[in-house]
Amino acid sequence: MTATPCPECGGPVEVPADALPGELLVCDACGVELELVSTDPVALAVFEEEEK
Amino acid sequence: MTAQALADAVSAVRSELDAHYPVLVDTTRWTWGEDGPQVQGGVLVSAQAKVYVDGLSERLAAEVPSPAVLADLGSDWTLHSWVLPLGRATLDLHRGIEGDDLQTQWTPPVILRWFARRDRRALVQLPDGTLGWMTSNRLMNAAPISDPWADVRRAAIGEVSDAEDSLEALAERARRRTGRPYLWGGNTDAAADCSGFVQSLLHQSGLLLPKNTRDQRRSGVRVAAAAIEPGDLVFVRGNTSGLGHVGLALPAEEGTQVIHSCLTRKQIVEEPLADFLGRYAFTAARRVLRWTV
Repeated sequence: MTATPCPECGGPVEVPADALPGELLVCDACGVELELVSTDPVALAVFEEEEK
Repeated sequence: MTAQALADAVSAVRSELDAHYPVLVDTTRWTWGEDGPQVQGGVLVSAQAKVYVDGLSERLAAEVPSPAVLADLGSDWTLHSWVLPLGRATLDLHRGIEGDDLQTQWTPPVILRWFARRDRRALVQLPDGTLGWMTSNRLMNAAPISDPWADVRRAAIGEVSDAEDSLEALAERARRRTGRPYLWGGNTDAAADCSGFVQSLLHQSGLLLPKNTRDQRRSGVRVAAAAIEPGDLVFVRGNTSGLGHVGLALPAEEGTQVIHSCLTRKQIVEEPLADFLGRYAFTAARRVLRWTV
């Protein structure tokens, strides 16, 4: 488990060791949904999508 | 900063809200007080409040208070009444008042929250939190003694609860629907979209999921892609469209399968989990129920 700053609010986001690139995580501090862009190094980006 | 600047900013943000939320019900009144912007009243859902706060903060370069959220589940506000749909026919709820874009469906009996009526259309809310417009001539007032939704068991973030039936029963119910048509916004046995399909299946197992994939993706607890088990929700997105999609993992002798209402194949299909994850990009897996085998 790695803690990485949320790109939206700066709060710590825990990235599980078994998370895959493209997986979506949620920032507990601000609630925004984040995409795990890469695992090495760990990089997060705010995620937005069309819904259904 | 002036009151006129606030009025201009509120007007601009309301236009923005109208564009994004056709079901907007906005009872806010903004005034300029000694300490800056003040708000009375509220909007229907938290997303609208966020647009207000973000939009006004940006335009005014100041901190602004959030309007009250009137309709989100758990709200203490009572700006609504309860109504009962007449008959057993499926309710069609639409995103806009014109009724040309299906939001979701529900099969009675159900008691709805009623918020507004305009031109023989009523803005109502389902027990899963979904808001939508429907024809008002099917609705009669209901006056429950207590909250009619108090016993509804909803999926929650970080919680896994016990299913009311077995994994085998779930699989049988799901597979009975194989080949039935995809319907955008649909949520009945006859036709459903991806989120409506899993919502209706798990509702019959005793848990009410939110209607859309984004909210479903936050329900329950995270499961790693390599640890997906039958009964889990598997979220993906199209490799080219980027559209969010959800399927339900099912047990099978040959290995875990996924059943889903597929937009491109226009029907409910079942396929091996590995094939499903190969055709789409994995985004998440969630466990919301604990199953007996």
